[in-house]
Amino acid sequence: MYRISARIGKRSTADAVRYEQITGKLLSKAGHVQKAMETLTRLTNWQNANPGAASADIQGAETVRQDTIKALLGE
Amino acid sequence: MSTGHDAMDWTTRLPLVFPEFAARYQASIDTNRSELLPYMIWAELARFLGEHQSRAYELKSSPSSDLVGRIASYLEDASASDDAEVQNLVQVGFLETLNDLPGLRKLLQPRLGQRTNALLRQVNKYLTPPP
Repeated sequence: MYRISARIGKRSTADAVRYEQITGKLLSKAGHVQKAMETLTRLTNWQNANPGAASADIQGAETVRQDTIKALLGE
Repeated sequence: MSTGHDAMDWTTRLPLVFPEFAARYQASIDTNRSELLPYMIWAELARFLGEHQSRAYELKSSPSSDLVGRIASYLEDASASDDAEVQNLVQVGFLETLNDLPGLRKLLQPRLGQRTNALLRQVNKYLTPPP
């Protein structure tokens, strides 16, 4: 069974989306796409509201955001 | 894709059923340009409960309102819903976040109902359990 490391935090939602898209099997009743879309919205809003945040936080958010976009695009 | 009517109902009821959570609920909406993001809200509820329990522990007192018990009861009612998306909010929104909060998970798991525990077992199949 596929396992997502909890240690990678928000990336796990992107990984769950990839698993569901690749296998066609949902990990939950309605899957992870909606949560991924909400994560994307939240991260984008946070970035827009916090342009002066610590560079490590900005970079971290952008990494997760890009990963989530790729997962939703099937990459 | 958008969140269905039942799932929105279960989400918008949260600040009414748990007034302690109302400020955090509204803050989540405010920081997302007045948009209600249900999965983010259910995840926020788990984090809020974790912080609530930590504060109670620091004060060496039990929360008089038994917020843990009331949330466990609400989760069980939602888990029993016929609506797949409502169950999804419990599993993917709340329980996946609980997995990152080992202290709260240890406290809450024995109080979760049968249906909620069934959803937690699903989470255990694909998320690495906390140490």
